[in-house]
Amino acid sequence: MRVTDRSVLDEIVARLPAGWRRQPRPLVDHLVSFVVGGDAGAVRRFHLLYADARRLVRTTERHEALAVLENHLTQAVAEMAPRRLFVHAGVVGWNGQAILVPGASHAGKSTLVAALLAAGATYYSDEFAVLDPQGRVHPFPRPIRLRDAREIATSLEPEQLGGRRGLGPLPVGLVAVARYDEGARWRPARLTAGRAVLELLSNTIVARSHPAAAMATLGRVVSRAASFKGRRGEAREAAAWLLEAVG
Amino acid sequence: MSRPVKNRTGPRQRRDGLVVQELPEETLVYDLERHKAHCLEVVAAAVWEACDGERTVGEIAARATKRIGRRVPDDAAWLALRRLGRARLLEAPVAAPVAGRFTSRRDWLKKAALFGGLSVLSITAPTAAQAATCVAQTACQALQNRFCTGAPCCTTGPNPAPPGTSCKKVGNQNNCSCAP
Repeated sequence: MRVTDRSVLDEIVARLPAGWRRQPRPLVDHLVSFVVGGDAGAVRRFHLLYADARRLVRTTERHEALAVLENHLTQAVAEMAPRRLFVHAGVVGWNGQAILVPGASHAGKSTLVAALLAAGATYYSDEFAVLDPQGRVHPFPRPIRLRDAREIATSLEPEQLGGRRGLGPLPVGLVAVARYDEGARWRPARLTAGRAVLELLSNTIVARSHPAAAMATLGRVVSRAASFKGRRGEAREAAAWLLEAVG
Repeated sequence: MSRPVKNRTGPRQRRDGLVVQELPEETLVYDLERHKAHCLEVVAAAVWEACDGERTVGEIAARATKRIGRRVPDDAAWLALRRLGRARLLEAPVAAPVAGRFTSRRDWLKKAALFGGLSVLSITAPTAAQAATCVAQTACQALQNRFCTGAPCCTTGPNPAPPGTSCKKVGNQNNCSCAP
């Protein structure tokens, strides 16, 4: 990460993915460059953001450039992590096991994660299940983003929802594909291991670029986890069922 | 003494460009050319494994029977072959018997349900961008310009945005838009 103006560094550091560290080596895998714009006398310069040689954004709004940067860094980590598989999913811990809720954006993952925290589960992520080659899930700590009826997102810390943060890796005890459908009753059907892998693969960032490694890791996840799929209405109802199912 | 040479052309399993992973009850196959992932249930997997290009359908059914430990009738092998061909997991699709074992699609489905274990479930693997968090077009358009997220816009849902767009400031509008 390089910048043309040190004054923006604090704002960038606040947006770096958890676990970042300073890298002294001059050679890097991926270079992100932020050309800081802003007012310079009568001239208003653009903020420019590049990923290697590709321009990500050109804007006069610093906030927008930083938002694009944060999204890009999260995505880049998910794509480039050498020993971790990133699956789009909400994750909580319960009794020493993890509950994985894979799903695309707007499937209701964060709402279900919030309901699970309110019921006493520990928080791992509302965005990514970070899996190691043994199939264990690691925390991806970031605030929970809940959307209101107008789809405007609010960030909340897990403690504000009555939950605690999970720290170490956990084996996955349950995979639940739970799509929100207003008014639906949560009556999930059991998934076979193969079908569960397909559900997880369809939410895996590197499904196309590293399919063999992805399938191997996901195969380990489902070999010991029970998997279910269904439509859910009220998040509290589904959350109570999931916690009971994982035991 | 030379072995007799078989000169038959039966269904042949495709091998190139595939990643295969065995699970206890199923087989997963990833097609590197089409970026499709398939889940083969137990009978379909056994039939696929038996397709060496030399066996007849009857021989394939017999081998599948031996492998899974329960009888696989010829009709079931035909159904599995049809599905494997449609999933492009055979070198060439298999033509149904001329005499017509199955008269209609309904007939095919009824037989398949009866046999069980014949399913070949397929998905298209997402690109990295498709698997990323997206912003609903409605949500993006509700944001003031200085709050544009830059995240990709959702291409599914009630108000889908065009593929390849992201939530950003466009021109002199007051709010963000989903644009390339």
